[in-house]
Amino acid sequence: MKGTYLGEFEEVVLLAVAIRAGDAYGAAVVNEIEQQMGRSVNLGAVHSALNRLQEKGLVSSEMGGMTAERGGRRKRLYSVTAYGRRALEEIRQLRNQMWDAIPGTAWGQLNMQ
Amino acid sequence: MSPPRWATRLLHWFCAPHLVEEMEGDLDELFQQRIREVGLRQARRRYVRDVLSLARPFVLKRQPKPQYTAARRFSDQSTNLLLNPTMLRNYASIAFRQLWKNQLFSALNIVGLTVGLAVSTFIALYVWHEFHYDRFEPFADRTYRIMSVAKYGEQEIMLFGLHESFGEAVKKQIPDVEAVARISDGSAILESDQNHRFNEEHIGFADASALPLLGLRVLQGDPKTALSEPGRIVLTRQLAEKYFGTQQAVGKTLVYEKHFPLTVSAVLDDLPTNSIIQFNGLVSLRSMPTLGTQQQFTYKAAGFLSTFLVLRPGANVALVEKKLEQVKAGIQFVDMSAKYFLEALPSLHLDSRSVSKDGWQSLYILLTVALVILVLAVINYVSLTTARATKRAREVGIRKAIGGQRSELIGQFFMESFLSTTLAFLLSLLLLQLFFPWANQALDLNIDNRVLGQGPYWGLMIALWLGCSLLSGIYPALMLSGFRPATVLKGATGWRKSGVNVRSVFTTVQFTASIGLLICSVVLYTQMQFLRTKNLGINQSQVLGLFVDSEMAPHYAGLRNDIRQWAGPANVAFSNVAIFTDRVPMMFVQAEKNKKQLMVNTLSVDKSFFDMMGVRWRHLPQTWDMGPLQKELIVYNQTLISEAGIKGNPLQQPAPLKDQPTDGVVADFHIRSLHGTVSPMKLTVVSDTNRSVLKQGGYLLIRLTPQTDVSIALEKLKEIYNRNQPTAPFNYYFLDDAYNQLYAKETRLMRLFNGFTALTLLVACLGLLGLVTFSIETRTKEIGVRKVLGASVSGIVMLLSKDFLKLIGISLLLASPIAWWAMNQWLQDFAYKIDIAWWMFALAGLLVAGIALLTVSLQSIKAALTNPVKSLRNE
Repeated sequence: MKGTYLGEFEEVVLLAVAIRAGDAYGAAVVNEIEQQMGRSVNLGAVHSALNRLQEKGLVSSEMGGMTAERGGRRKRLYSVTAYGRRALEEIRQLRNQMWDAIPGTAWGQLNMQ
Repeated sequence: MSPPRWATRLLHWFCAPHLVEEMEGDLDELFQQRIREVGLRQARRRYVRDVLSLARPFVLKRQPKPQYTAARRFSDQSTNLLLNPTMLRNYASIAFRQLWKNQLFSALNIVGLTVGLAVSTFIALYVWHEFHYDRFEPFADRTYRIMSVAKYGEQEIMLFGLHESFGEAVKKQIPDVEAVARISDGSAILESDQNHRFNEEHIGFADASALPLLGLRVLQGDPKTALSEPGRIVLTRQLAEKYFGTQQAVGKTLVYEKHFPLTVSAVLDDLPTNSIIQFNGLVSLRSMPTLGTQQQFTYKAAGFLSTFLVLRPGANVALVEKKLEQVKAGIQFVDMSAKYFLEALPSLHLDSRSVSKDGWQSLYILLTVALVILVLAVINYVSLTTARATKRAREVGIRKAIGGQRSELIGQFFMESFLSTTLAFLLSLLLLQLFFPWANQALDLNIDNRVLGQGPYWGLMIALWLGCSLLSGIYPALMLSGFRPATVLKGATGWRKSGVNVRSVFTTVQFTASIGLLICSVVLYTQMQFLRTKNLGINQSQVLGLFVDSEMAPHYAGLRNDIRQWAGPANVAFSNVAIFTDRVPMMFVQAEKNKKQLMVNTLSVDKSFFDMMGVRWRHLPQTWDMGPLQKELIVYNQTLISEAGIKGNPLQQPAPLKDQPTDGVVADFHIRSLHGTVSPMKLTVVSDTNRSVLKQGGYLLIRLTPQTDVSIALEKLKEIYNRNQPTAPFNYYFLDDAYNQLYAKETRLMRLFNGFTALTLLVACLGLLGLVTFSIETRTKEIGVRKVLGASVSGIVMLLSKDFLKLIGISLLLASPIAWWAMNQWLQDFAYKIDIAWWMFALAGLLVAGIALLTVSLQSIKAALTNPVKSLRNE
C-alpha cells in the first residue's frame, strides 16, 4: 500500500469531502474543516491536498454547472471514490484495533509517571 | 466590498489558465462569506493569505496544450512570446537543428570561440595575477620599501639593500614608523644529515617582525617569535619536506654553511606567487654575526637588507621620506649622498623605480593579443552566420508572415549565438583546466593554480562568456531579423548580397592581425637568433662552470690538476665569479686621467682563461710568454682604456686607475646580456699557486669537447670532485645555459608570440574555410555552367580564390607598418639589434598567403573537379 499513505490533513480533507457529498468543492471543504475543527485553514492547503488525493485516486472531480452565486464561475466538485472510501474505512479499523489493544491498566500507569 | 485587486492580478499571473476559474470562484465565495462573519478587513487579509497559499507547483503548472494551432496563438497573444515556454522550446530546438545540420560551420564557430575564450581567459588570469601583487599582507596598504638613490657620475644608482643599523635607527628616530621589517636574499648550503646536503637558493636573513608583516600561513611554530632569537631558521613547506620528510620539522637542527647549527623554529605554507618577496628559508638576522667571517663582514659593512616600513595610519609619506635623510645610522657603508624614497609594497612589482617599464609593456602586449584573438573568434562567428543568412532568409520570411515580431526573431538569433558560445565556453573551461599547469610551466608564467578556484577568476569567465554571446549575436540578430518577408519569399536576389562588404572587412581584419603577429614573430625570432649566435668575444659553448667552495682552498690545486689531467690542460681555466649571471661584482672608481666616474666589472682569472675562453689580446703583457706568472697581472678591456681617456699604446701610458698600471689589454668581450654594451672591465690574472682568489669561492671552467656525452662527463667530474675532500655539494652550471637565461624574458615573449600567432592564424583560417565553403555552395550551379561552357579547373580555382587573396594582399599592406612600428619600439631595448628587413614582411605575407591558399584550394579544387552533370541535374 506504499504511495497511498494518508497524511493527517489529507485524511481530514477526505472526510470533509465525504461529509459534503455531492457539493464538495474548495470553499465548501474549507468551511467544513473550519466548522468541524475550529481552526482556520488556507485555501491553498486544501486545494493542494485535494489535488494529491485526486492523484492517488481517492477522490474524483468534475466541473459543476454555472451558478449565479460565484459571479457565474463554475466549481470543481469532488467526490470520494470507492477506493477512497475503503482507505477511510481501513484507517478507522486500524484505529479501533489499536484502541482495543490498549490494556485496561495503561491509563493508570501513565498517570503514575 | 471587493478583494484587493493586486492579489487577484497576482493570482491571474501565476495560476495556470485552466485553474483560474475555480480558484477565483472559491476565493470569491470565501471572501463574501467572511465579510459577513469576520468583517471586511479580516476578509481581505484572509483573501491575500489564500492567494499566496495557492502558489504551489500544481497551480503554477500549465496544462499541456496542442501546439502551433492558429487559434492557440491568437489566444496567447496577450502574453510575451519571447518568454513563452513553448516558443523558447521551439527556438532551442531550431538552434540545435541548425547546429546539427551545418556541422562544419558549427564546428568552425565553436572551435574558434573555444580557442578565443581559452586564450583570453588565460591571459586575463595572468594579467590579473600581475596586477594583484602583494595585496595579501595584513598591512599592505601602509607598508613601504625604502629605496635609496645615489648619483654616481652621470649614473643614478638605485639600491634597496640597506645596512643593518639603518632600519634600527629609523625605528628609533621616526615616530611615524610603526614597525620595521628587513629581509635579505642569498644562497647557502644546508644539511640535516649526510644524505640531505644541498645548495639552496633563496635562503635569506630576516628580523623578527618580517613574518608578522608578511602574514603568511604558518603550519608549525609561532610566527611572532620564530625569528627573534639567534640560531633560528624558518623554512617553507617544500624545504621542510625536502630535509625532514613528513616528520615534524620544528625543533630539528639544520647545519648552515657546513658549520653552524640552526634550529628550525617554524614551517610556512607555500608562499603566494604574487609577491615580490620570495624565499625558501629565512635565518634570524640576529644570528648573522655568529655565522662565520664572511657573514660577519656582510653584517658589519654591507648594505644587503631590503627594509620595509609599516607607517602609522595617516602618516605623510613625503614627510617620512624627508626624515629618512636625517636619520643618523651608525655606519655609512657607501660614501654617497643618497636620497631615500618610499615605495608602497603593492606597487613594487610593476611600478618600482628599480624595475623597467617592460612589465607594463608586456602586459599591454598580452592584453592586446588576447583581445585580438577573442575579436577574431567573434568575427568568425558573425561572418559565418551572416554568410549563411541566405539559407535562413526563408525561415525568417515565414516566421514573419505568420506573425512573428522582429523582437522575437532577434531573441531567437541571440539564443543561437548564446548556445554556440555556451558550448565553446564549456569546452574552453575544460581546455583551460587541462592545459593550465602545462601552459604555466612552458611559458614560465609562474601563476599559482590556486587562482583557478578564486572568485575573480569565475567572475571573469562569466563576464567573458556573456560578453562574447552578446557581441557575436548582435549583428546577425539585427541583420537576419531585418529581412522583409515579401522580398525574401518572392525569391528576389537583392538581399543575397547583404553583408558581403562587412564580411570582406572582417576577413581583412583577421588577416591583418595574423600577418602582423607573424611579422612580430619573425622579427623576435631573428633577434633572438642574432643574440644567441652573436660573437661575444668569448666562446661560451660547451663550457661548464664547476663551483669551488672557499674552504676547499687546501685541496684546490689537487682538484685542478686532476681535472686538467682528465680534460686536458688547455680546456681548464679559472674565474672567481660566475660569468653570465647577475653576480658579477661591480666596482666604483674614478679614472686617473680624465677623472671620469666608472663602474668597472672586476674578476680574477688564471692564465689559461684567455686562450681557453677565446678572448683575444690587443696588447699582450710583456712577460706573458715567459712561463708561469711571477706576480699578478692587471689586464683591462678596450672599453675601460678608452673610457679612461687613454690614447696610444696603453702599456706605455700612466695607469688608467690609481696605482693599477696596465699590464695588458684584451678585446671587449661580454659577460652579461646584450641588452647593454660591454662595461669597463678589470681582469686580475693570478698565478696557479695563488690561494687568496678562492676567498669567496670560484669557478673552474671546463670546456667539454663536442663529442662528449654530457651525462658521462658529469659523472666523471663528480667522481673527481668527490675524491678531493669537497666541503660543498657538487654544483655546476653551463655557461651557454646561463647566457640563454639572460634572455628568459625575451624567450618567453617569443614563445607566447609564436603560440598566439599560430592560434590567430588557426582562427582566421577557420573563418576563411567557412566563407569559402559557403561561397562555393552558393555557386555550385555557376561552376557547373562554367565547366559545361569549357572553363578549366585551374581557371575555376583561380576564380574562387582570387577574392580572398586580394583581401590578404590588403591585409599585408595594413599589417606591415603597424608591425614595423611595434617591433622597432621593442628593439630599442637592445644595444645590439638586427635591422628589420623587407624579407621579414615578404616571408610573413607569403606564409599567410600560402596557408590561406591551401585552405581555400581544399574546397575550391573539390568544387572545380565535380562533374557538372551532378550540380546541374537537380533543381
